[in-house]
Amino acid sequence: MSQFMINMLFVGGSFILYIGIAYWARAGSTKEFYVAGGGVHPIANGMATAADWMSAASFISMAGIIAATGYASSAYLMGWTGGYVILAMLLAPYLRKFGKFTVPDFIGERFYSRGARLMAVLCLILASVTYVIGQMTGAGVAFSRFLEVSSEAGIWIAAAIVFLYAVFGGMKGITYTQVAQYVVLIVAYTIPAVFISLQLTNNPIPMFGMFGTHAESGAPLLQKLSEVLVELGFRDYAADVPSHLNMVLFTLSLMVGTAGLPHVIIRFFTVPKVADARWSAGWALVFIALLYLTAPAVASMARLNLLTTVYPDAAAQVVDKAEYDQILGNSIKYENRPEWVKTWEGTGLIKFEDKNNDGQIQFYDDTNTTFATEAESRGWAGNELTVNNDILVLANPEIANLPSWVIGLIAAGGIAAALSTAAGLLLAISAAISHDLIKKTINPNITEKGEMLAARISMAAAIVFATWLGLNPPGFAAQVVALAFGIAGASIFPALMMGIFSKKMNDKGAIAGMAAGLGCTLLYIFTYLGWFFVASTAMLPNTPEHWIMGVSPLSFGAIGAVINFVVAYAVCSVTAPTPQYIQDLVESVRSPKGAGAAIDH
Amino acid sequence: MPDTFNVDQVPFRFLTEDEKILLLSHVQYKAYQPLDIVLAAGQPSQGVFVIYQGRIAESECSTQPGEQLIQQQAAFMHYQAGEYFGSWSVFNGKAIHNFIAVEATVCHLIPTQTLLELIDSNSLFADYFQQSLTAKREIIAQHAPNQDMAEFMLARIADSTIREPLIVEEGTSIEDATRLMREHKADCLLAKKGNRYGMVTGTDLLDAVILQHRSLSTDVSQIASYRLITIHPDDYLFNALIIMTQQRIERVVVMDAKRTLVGVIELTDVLSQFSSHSHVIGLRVERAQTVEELREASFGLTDLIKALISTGVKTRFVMELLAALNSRILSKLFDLIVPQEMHPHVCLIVMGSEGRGEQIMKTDQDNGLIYRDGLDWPQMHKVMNTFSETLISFGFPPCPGNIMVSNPEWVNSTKQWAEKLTRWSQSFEGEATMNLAIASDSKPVAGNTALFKVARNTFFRRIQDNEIFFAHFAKAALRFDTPLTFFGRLKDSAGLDIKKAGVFPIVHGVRSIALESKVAETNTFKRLEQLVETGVLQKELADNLSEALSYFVQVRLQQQIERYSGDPTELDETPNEVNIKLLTALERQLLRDALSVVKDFKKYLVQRYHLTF
Repeated sequence: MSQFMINMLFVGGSFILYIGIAYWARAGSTKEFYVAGGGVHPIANGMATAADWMSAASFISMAGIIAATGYASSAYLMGWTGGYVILAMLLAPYLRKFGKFTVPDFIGERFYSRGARLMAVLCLILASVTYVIGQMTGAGVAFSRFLEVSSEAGIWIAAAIVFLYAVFGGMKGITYTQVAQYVVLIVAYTIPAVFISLQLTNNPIPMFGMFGTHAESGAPLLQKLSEVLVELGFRDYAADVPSHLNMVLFTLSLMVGTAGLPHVIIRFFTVPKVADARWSAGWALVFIALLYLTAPAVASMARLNLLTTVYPDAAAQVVDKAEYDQILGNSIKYENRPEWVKTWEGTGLIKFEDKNNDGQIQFYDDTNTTFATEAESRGWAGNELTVNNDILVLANPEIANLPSWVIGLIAAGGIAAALSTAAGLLLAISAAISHDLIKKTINPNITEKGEMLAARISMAAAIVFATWLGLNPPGFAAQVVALAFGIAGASIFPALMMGIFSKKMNDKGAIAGMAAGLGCTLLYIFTYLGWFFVASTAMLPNTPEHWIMGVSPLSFGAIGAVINFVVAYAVCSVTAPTPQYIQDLVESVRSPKGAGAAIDH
Repeated sequence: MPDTFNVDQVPFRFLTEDEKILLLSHVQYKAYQPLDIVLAAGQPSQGVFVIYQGRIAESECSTQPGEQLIQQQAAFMHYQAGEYFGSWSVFNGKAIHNFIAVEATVCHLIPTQTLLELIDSNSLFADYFQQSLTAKREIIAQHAPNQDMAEFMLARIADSTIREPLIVEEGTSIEDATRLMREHKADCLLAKKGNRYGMVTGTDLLDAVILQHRSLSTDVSQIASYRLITIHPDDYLFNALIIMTQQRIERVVVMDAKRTLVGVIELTDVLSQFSSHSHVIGLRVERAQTVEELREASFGLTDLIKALISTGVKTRFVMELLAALNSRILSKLFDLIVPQEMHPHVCLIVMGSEGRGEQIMKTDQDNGLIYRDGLDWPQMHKVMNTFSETLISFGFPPCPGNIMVSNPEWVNSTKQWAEKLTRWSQSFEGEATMNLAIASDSKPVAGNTALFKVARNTFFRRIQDNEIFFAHFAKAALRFDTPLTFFGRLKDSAGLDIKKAGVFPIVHGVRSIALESKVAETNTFKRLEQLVETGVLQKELADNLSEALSYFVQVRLQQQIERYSGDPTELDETPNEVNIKLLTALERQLLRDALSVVKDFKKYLVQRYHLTF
């Protein structure tokens, strides 16, 4: 059976599984009119939360970006995990007690203002659409590979499927489908990792294998990887980052951005009992950690595998630099390239150009000026192989020569990750537009049918827009998602925090804060990445030399959040104070006792 | 100009393409000036008229056509563009009423011949014109400006009380006749003379003896009036009333087509057609001095429901009437059992479907008691036990969930009650949700109503504007699949549980929205009306839901009555089962439409309460 057929089988099989479970969950309803105990078990809800949480960025792209940049990208792991904890501990319980499902609803109510609600809708739409761009980029890669089409075609197919999924599947109670998606996703992620870890280190647990000994060379795996990378002019895998400030800001930005993203918050409300909600948040963290702890192992092993595919001898035990020179000169011939390179070339995500016409593949860092002379002495005329970071996880099993069913499995996993998150986001966007924007602000008399139609249209518009931008993404999937987090972190997170923890914060302060945070962050991002991510309109090149104080656009969210806080407090101190009933409301939400009793007297 | 005829409207859209062509080729175009008589009572049928533009009035008066008639408010029904009239005449042979153009009117006439051909060839189309009497009335009743009036009008003589007349042979003396009338408690008799009958009333007898000084031995057939005013048993009750009013008489003789005597119909019977049963039962309940008498009165309820339904009264009104009678029974029983001095300190409430006023057959007891904070009444639980026991003996089955005053859980002081409601509204647990759902439909029926209101208002103040609670509360409405396929057809052709498929989603969904909007009404229809008034729901959605719900209730009731054996103490095992095979094609279509309203409503709930999990 061809790989294509196997992929189809796995992807098709996983879809049948989701639809089957959705059907079973509906038809399986009992005779009772009211369910005892609330239905979903905390472990199941934890898995569903994890599936919502783990987007294409986490699944497809994160390991790729860690592989490409090493230690510097560990900020993704810290930021996203930390963000989840902040959300679960600091925000969700209060939002739940406040009794609002969506961020605009909360902000509109807490800041007793239509303007604040509108501002929140705007922030939410901008952040979510950016997030969807990342999802589409990732999903496009997955679809282009398994359908063996170009990445453009892949992204449009992904858009169509995500839209259908959101319109039909997204409308129903889908907790158990999400659970299935998590299982598919985590199995798909860990199985290749286990195989590869066994191959490289004889240790079946990837997290431990990463710190173990590389079986072929006898050297510690990470040390081996760093050696080879340095010999090729790449940055040392474990090297420190040039700007600590940037890394800290980046991590913070990812953390605070989490709070403003709408599709995960709702998961904290789906379990009726508060105690169960806490447990499911805990379980979700376990399930998320499972993937996040595997990702660095996948990344380092895949990078090493990629290098040893190009330079087959590099994996062996190497004594000195002279030996490396010889080994690296002996790279693989293009005509002998493995099958997976050929398939991925078809998608346009791997490109080869024989710059020195020697028929061999040279894969090194030709932007590294200090390495230029050494490259020249080896007769290299530039890097000849361009590998898109986003393919790494998907190509991983192929690089490691794993059985073809593993490849099918990972295709299904990648698509599951993209679908679950993208559908959740699209629902959040459509709800924000149809409910918060149209129904509550523009036209309160809209019919229920009109509202639903508006929801569908906005969903379609959002996906078309995101797909169009996803064709020329402003970065790899994980980076685009990081931008989304920056936007959300700079605009929504401070408003939520002040809404919950400050009784005094008033409407004008919140609006001004959100506007300032959002404006500054967008300005900074668009300066380097082009207006609305159209690269040609960038005003400054997106390289560290041009960044103000070495802060990358990805990290600016944290600064945006600080600006938001400062502006909000400044404006608040000179405008009318918050009405007493709102202050009482905030007090009651924060008090641990039943809020009902607090309102009653 | 048949091209202006809209074949896409109901029922013509049921026709096939060929049939539509046949229809269009025969449709006649008719124009009328204001006050033109389109169809006069008694005229033979021309066919069915479909109004293209203008307005037609239907009136009962056959003698005075013209302007006067319209001004006399004799027109009881108006038809407008898109509506049709005259189908009665097609089936009855001739028109019963006058149809008069109120404005310049253009109609399309479908000739009787064509209509009958179409009815033969298309069963769905035929159903629309020919379904059971009840459904036919239903459709017409929806057009009527005054529901009660329409229902009254459409009741037939045969549906009403036709009294067996007292008949005496020729030669019976006035004295004997009077004695017979007294014995039979009759106030008139029919004197037979040959093949003819003559009417003699009490007034006639008085006139003969006192004014005309006839002897007591005079033959009654001599004073009888042989110009009998008769009516056909299939004629409308309404016509009987008209005749009686016009002729200033109080009874009309009912004779069938062969001029055979069927009976006599009395003015009082006609007038009490609607209110009679309920009135009688209501009176009996009011007059009851003992529990025994009350029990007797309450057994009449099931028969009353049957009678009302068979006269084609809208289910919704039956429900209202029944709710009123049930609460009268409860209130009377409360008066009989609870000591008088306790009445100001306690309040009896009914909950669930009874509280909503939506039960049809006698349903489970769902009741509770609220008493004044700090009330000292040691016998309370004993008395409440007696109360529940007595109700069971009345044929009100005990509540399976034990939601009865005999259960101390449901006997609370105002403070306890408000706290209980609040606790349930904060707990998100299945049982609490159910209790809250039942309790949020509660309605006071006896005792001190103020106690109930205090507790309810406290609770309303306490429920927060918590969307998460309402989401979990409302989610129960989505628990059961709507039995429609993706293409809108019925999933199962055999039977369905109408409560799960249609009634519960609407009732619970509306209840959630009502609770969220703090609507004090408990009846689903009234809740919908209030939600429209306060701008929470759109009128279109609310109207659709009302119609769908009343249709479900009606279908359920029809089938319950078909299953009913006549024993008031017997329980219906599957009260919510609707056997689709017993429905006509049109009824099935209506069921599908109603279910798709439910489907849309669920989508609305999903959106409103963010139920995407």
